[in-house]
Amino acid sequence: MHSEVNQMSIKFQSRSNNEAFARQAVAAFAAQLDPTIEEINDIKTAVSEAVTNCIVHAYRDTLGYITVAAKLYDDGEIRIVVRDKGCGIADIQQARQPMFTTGDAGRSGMGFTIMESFMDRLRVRSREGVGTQVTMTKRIAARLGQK
Amino acid sequence: MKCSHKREDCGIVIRFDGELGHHEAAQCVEYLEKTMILYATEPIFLDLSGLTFMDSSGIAVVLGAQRNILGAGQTFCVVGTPPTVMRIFQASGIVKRIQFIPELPHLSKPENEEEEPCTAK
Repeated sequence: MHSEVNQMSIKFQSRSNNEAFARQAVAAFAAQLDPTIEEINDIKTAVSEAVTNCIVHAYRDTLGYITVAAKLYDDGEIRIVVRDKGCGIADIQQARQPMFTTGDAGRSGMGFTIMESFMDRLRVRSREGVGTQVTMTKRIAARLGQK
Repeated sequence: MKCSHKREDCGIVIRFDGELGHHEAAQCVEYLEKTMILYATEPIFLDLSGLTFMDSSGIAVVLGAQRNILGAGQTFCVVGTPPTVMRIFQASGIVKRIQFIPELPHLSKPENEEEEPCTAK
């Protein structure tokens, strides 16, 4: 069993200029675990993908609120939850397939694939018309001579 | 995000500096399309060495540019991709679909030195 040592939460409008704010806020919070540059980039990228999904898909033609919460644990794990109250995902399995997108030609359909690659675990819960919750966890390895 | 371009011996080099996410993607696409029209017959090199962050939105930008530029019969290469950005391409499994080169080809090569031409078409 691991114990929670710190937590944060931010809530912001689904405007694309908030993406950088969200990923940088989580990265700054995760820095308490003393991650490598590569690990911090992985976290920033995964958060960016999850928040972009909310803006592009969940609130496609409307403006809503996105909540990003993060918890740090004493074994070096970070758990990040990105939540929206948008349209929901009809078929989660299909949505997680590489190159699948319901967005326009400007979308690559690689968002979930990148979240899976860059984080240790990814869980997606969604209900149509209610919203979506993406939970991602990553363990920051203790470096030699530290922790 | 700053988009710029300049003419080099090998062709037109379009450069992105800063972070490339969904918010910046439209600006990049517009800049690429405009530059491609301006230099419709020249090889295009996309210099990513100034990127400090990129997510999957950048993949769509690069693939879209490649589709349009190669479709118009021009040469297209991605140059100077930083390791953090290359990881996004690798995770997406599309590295083989794009011509990556570490640096711009030098047309006036020094003696006894082989040069790797950009061959993506």
